[in-house]
Amino acid sequence: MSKELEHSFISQLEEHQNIVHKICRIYTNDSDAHKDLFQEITIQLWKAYPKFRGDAKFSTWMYRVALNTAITLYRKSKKQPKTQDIDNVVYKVRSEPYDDTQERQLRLIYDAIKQLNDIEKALVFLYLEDKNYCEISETLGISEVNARVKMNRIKTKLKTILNP
Amino acid sequence: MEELDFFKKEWQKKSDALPKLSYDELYAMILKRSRSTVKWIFIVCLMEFVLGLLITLLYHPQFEKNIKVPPFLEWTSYLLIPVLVYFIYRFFSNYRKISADSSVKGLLDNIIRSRRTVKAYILFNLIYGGIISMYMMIHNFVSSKGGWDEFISHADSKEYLLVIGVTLISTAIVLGFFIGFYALIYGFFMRRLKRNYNELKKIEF
Repeated sequence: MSKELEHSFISQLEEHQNIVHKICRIYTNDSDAHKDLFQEITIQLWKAYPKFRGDAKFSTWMYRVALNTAITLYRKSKKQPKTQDIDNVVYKVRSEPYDDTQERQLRLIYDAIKQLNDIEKALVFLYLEDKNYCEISETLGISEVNARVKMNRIKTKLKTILNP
Repeated sequence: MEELDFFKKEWQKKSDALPKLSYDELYAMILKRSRSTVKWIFIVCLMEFVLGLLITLLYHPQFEKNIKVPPFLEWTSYLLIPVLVYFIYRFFSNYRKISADSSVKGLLDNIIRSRRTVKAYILFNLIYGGIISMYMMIHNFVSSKGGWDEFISHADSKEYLLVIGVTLISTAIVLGFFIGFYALIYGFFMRRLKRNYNELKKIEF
C-alpha cells in the first residue's frame, strides 16, 4: 500500500488512539493483554482502511472495527506478546491527587462493568462514549429499540452487582 | 442509573490520562502480523479442503487393489469432485463477505455462515465415508464367507448380529473420533464467537 495511505492512516489513528485504548481498558485486565489487543485492533484497522471511503467519520468507523476485533477477532495470546516497541509506554499512569472516596466508587463501577459479557461491555462502552441509540444500534447490528431495552437491563444488572 | 452517569462524566474527563503512542510506534504495529480468530478459522478450513482432496486423489492403499469395488461406488466417487468444488466456491464467497467494518452482528453472521459451509462439507464427507465403510465392511465379511449366496444359505442369526454389531461399533468409533476432533479444533476458535452471537440473538428476541 502506498506511503501516502500509510501516512494518512497513522496520522488519523494517532489522533483518535484514545478510542482504542478505552476499548482495551474495558476488554482486558492487564497491560500485556492491553498492548496485545491494541496491536490487533491497529492491524485490523489498517487491513480495513483501504475500504474506508470517508463517507463516515474516521472515529465512527474506528468504533466498529475496534469493537469487532475486541469481541470477535481477538484471541488472547498465551505467550508474552512481542511488543517491546510499546513497552513502558502503554501503562504510564499519571499520578495526581484524587478524592479517595470518589476514586473508590469509580473503581467499584469499573469492576462491575468488567463482570459484564462482551456484548454488554460494547453497549456500555458506546453509552459511556455518549453515542446515541441510533449509532449504538448501527454499530452492533441490532435494532434501536432493542439496544435501548438492553441498555436499561444492563443498568439494572450493574445496580445489582453494585448493591447485592 | 446515577452511578453510571457519574462514571460517564469521569470516563470522558479521564481521556488525557490514557497512554499516547507516537507515530513511529503506531507505524511499527501495522507491520506486525495479525493473530485474529478468523484468520485461523480460514487456515483450518483450507487445510480441511486440501486434506480431503489429497486423500481422495493420492491415498490408494494396497488393500484397495484386492477389493472389487462395486461399480455404483466408483460412480459416487466421481460425484465427490463437483460437490467439493461447490463447497469451496461457497466457502470463498462467504469468506469474502467477512469484513471487520461491518456491524458486530453482521460480522458474526458472516463468520458463522462460512463456518456452516465447511461444517456441511465435513458432515457430507463423514456420512459418505460412513456409508462406504459400512458397505465395504459387510461386503468383505460376506466375501470371506464365500459370497452372498453362500453366506445367506449358511448364516445363522448369531452371524448376522455379529456382522451388524461389528459394523455399527467400528463405524461409530471412527465417526466419534472425527466428530471429537472437529469439536476440539473449532471449540478452540468458536466458543467465544458463538457465545457472543447467541447473546446478540437473545437481544433481538
